[in-house]
Amino acid sequence: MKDRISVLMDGELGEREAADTIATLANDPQARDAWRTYHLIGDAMREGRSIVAPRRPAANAPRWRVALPAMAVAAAVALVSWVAFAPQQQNPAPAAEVAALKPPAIVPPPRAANDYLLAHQGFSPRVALQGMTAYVRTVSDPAEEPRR
Amino acid sequence: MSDREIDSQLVARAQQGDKQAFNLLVEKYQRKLTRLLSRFIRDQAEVEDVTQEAFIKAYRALPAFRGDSAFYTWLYRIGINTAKNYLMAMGRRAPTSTEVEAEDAEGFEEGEQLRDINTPESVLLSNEIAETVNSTIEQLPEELRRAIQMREIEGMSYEDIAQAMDCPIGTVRSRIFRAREAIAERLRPLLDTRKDKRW
Repeated sequence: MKDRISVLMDGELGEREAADTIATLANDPQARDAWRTYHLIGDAMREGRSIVAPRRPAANAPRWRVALPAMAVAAAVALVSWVAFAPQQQNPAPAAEVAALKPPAIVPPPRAANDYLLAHQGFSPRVALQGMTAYVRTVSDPAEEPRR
Repeated sequence: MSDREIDSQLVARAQQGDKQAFNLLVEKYQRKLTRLLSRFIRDQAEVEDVTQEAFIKAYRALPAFRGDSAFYTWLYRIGINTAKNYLMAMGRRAPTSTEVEAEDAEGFEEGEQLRDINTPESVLLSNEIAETVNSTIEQLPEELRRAIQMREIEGMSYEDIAQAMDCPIGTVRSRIFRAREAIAERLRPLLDTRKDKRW
């Protein structure tokens, strides 16, 4: 009976046999179960045709042709991960290495540098100023100033 | 007997009061109609409700169906109108006539657009079911797998498959049946747990 349902669904059953099968379908729970399941299978296959029939590499294809794309993908993922996360990593250096580091030499700027910085402060980037700090103006009220 | 003739026979039986015959039509077309309606209604639960309502309307209107068009074409119109009414009642944008008429009901299933959306099919057929179908097909003997794929995916006739596989039509018939049964056997434990579904 299930065999005939399969053929009926495919439109390949003769008229007389089809009519008999349809009559049976309406009265036989097992036949209806087959009808339901076979249609489900067909829908699943058509809906997921790219999943159902994935392209497999030919059996005689060399292994490296299979592995190479996978390795390329893995390498790309690793690169992206490194670029994304490496600058944020702040692994504490081992104590021995820290101890071995010499403190940086502090070289005082020349006096003229202060004048230069003062004169050009208007052009300096304000990225260090957060929030509304950039808009704050310092004012003073003479009345509030301590008398000298 | 062609697909349309099978539907006509089921409709005729349903018109004579055979509810099981109508159920067979529901089981055949519910996923197709749900996919269609999901183009206009994104929420999965709403799509299922509207689909069910469309089938109820179709059942009530069945005595008036004269068979001038294919059953699915008729059902398609009912489904679209039900979706339109639902969206308008919800104060949402209903599909325009251009959007709807542009689709050929019979050829709708092949529309590439359907594959771009998050179809309710992926919900109705749970991942588990889809994976079971896929994995079983992969494990089928080559001749069974090719036969059922040519039939279900390519829509080829038994005669064409017989030519392609260089075997008698009877062998094609047997291979397709055996493939379906092999997949069905693996699906049954999953489907038995889903009997509480509305359809």
